[in-house]
Amino acid sequence: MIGFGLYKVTGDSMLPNYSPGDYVLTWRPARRSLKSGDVVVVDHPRFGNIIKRIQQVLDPVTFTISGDNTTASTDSTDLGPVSIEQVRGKVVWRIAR
Amino acid sequence: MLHSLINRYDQLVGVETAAAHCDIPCKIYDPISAQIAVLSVIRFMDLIAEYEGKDLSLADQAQLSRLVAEKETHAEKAKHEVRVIWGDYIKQPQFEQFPDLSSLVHSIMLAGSACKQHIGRENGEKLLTLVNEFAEAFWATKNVDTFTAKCPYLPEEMVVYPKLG
Repeated sequence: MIGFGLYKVTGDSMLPNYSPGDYVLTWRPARRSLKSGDVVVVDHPRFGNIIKRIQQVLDPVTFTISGDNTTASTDSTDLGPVSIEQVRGKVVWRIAR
Repeated sequence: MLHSLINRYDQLVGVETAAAHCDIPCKIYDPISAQIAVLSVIRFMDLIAEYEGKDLSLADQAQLSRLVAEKETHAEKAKHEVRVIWGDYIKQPQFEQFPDLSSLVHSIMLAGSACKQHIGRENGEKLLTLVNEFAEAFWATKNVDTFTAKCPYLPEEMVVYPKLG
């Protein structure tokens, strides 16, 4: 499945759109194609694989991310800016629990 | 249906997880935890010193062991509390305000380790001086004035407190 990824969601920070136990299918996006609002799986140096929504595109290859459930999510100041190299895939399909 | 199939596959083969991370940023930081831990270290050093030259009973030896263990625990706690503030709260604006902050934190780590290794009170006093300096810088980053006063309990050492209200 080159380009595709399958991940199981853990944690509550993407509620109500993504629940713990959901599976998501991701597709490795073309560089510069990501935009604000896209949900991505990121290989974060501190937290490992995380699923977050792109908050703001700082430049074509750098952006900030945040959870949908702001009461239970690490905010972007803690996560820091993310580069396209860290993106493992853009979520293209949610397989709900 | 599809979820059940994938779940079965997950159980058999394993699927990577993607964490919707729940490390809630409470943003509650206060160096007083580190300062109190250092005061405890000094107090334990004083209590350990009281055993100097005494013929120790078994009970005394047990108590002395506890004091040494607690001294080391609290020295480590002081180091931990400072590391958390340095790692999670201090960011570029604070580094610009206090360019030597990382160097100060490193000195605290070394002084904290010295408190674990030794029983001399001067080690605790040095750690307190450094942690007070760190507390002063921390409150300055929040535009909170500070004052220095003797803590109202043993070991009655000088502590930097925030001027609130």
